[in-house]
Amino acid sequence: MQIDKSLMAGSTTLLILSLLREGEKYGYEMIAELARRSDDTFQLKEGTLYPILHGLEKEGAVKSCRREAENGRERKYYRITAAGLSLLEEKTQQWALFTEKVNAVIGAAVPAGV
Amino acid sequence: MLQQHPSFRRWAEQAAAHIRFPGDRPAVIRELTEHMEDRCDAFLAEGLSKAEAEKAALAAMGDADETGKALALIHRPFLGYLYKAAKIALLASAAMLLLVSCARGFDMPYSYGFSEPYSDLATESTATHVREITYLSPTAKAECGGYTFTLPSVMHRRFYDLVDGTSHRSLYFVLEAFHPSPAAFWPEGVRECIYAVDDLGNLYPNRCFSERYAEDEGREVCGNGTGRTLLRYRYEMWVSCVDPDAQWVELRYERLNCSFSLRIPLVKDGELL
Repeated sequence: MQIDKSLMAGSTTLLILSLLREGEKYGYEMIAELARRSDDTFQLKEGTLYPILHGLEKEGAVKSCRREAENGRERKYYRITAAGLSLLEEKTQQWALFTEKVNAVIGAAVPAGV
Repeated sequence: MLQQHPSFRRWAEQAAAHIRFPGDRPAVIRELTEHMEDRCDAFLAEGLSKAEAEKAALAAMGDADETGKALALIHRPFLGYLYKAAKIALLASAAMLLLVSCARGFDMPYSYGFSEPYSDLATESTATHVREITYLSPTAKAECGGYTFTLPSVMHRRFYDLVDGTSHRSLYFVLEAFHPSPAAFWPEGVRECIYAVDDLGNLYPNRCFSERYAEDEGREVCGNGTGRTLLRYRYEMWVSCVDPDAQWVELRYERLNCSFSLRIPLVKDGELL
């Protein structure tokens, strides 16, 4: 099932920062990793990813540097900063609150453990 | 690698063209092109031919203009130009400082010429005379024409002539002029115009450029401009034939559309020097 784009839009920053929390990554690596983990549900577009990454860099939430990737080519790697970790925590809390309230409103029966 | 995928570069350039600050474009073009290479590699790994993989990679990127417009929202020209202007201003200031410094020299802080050679002569006695040297630290400070004048070092000397029973006093001092701007030059006419008076009403005219006369008992102020650093100028000067009973001497200056005076007390621990 395809997910509505507008639903994705609100959580993209959260997803990107979550990926970077686990270690530095370059652009394509993030898109591929996101698709893999979500069984291809999240197909992030370049036109979405890079403006978010560049915006986060301007805010100081991520930093970038060029270095050689595993395939031998040079790539621009992004890593999360202390400010980025704070932002991630804030976004995670917002997301938890949001889903909790949405579920409360729609009255969905959420199975235990999910 | 970039030359192998001209179509990738074209796509990236089309997207980056939407960024109004040209300085940001090359990095974006490079990053997007590399991204397409990675996508292409992934398709190749799935078994597609090179041509198919390139085509699929381009197709997966979507609309270049749409991506470019989204990037343009982040790469604002104002911030870019501001950053560039700040960098240029910083470099220009550094270059200016260097030029001014070079033009004016990098003289090291001046070493006070009279203090070292005389330091072992605090009291010198011979069969014909006794010489007493006293170093003073007057706190006098004056502002004039943007400069701050101080006296970082002052030496008083009393000379007793044992043959004719007379005594003579002289005052040697370093006058320092500080200006906060490195572009300022030597304060005008200080060496030539500064004169002195004492508490007894004696005048010590400036004689730097004058003939010396026997009258006035040789009382005079004179000296040399002897050192400078980026913000400080120093003069080594003296007051000759200070009255034997004077309790203080005051240096006076009246130019630069302003005037200042610096008083040097000639009393130490309650005793006349």
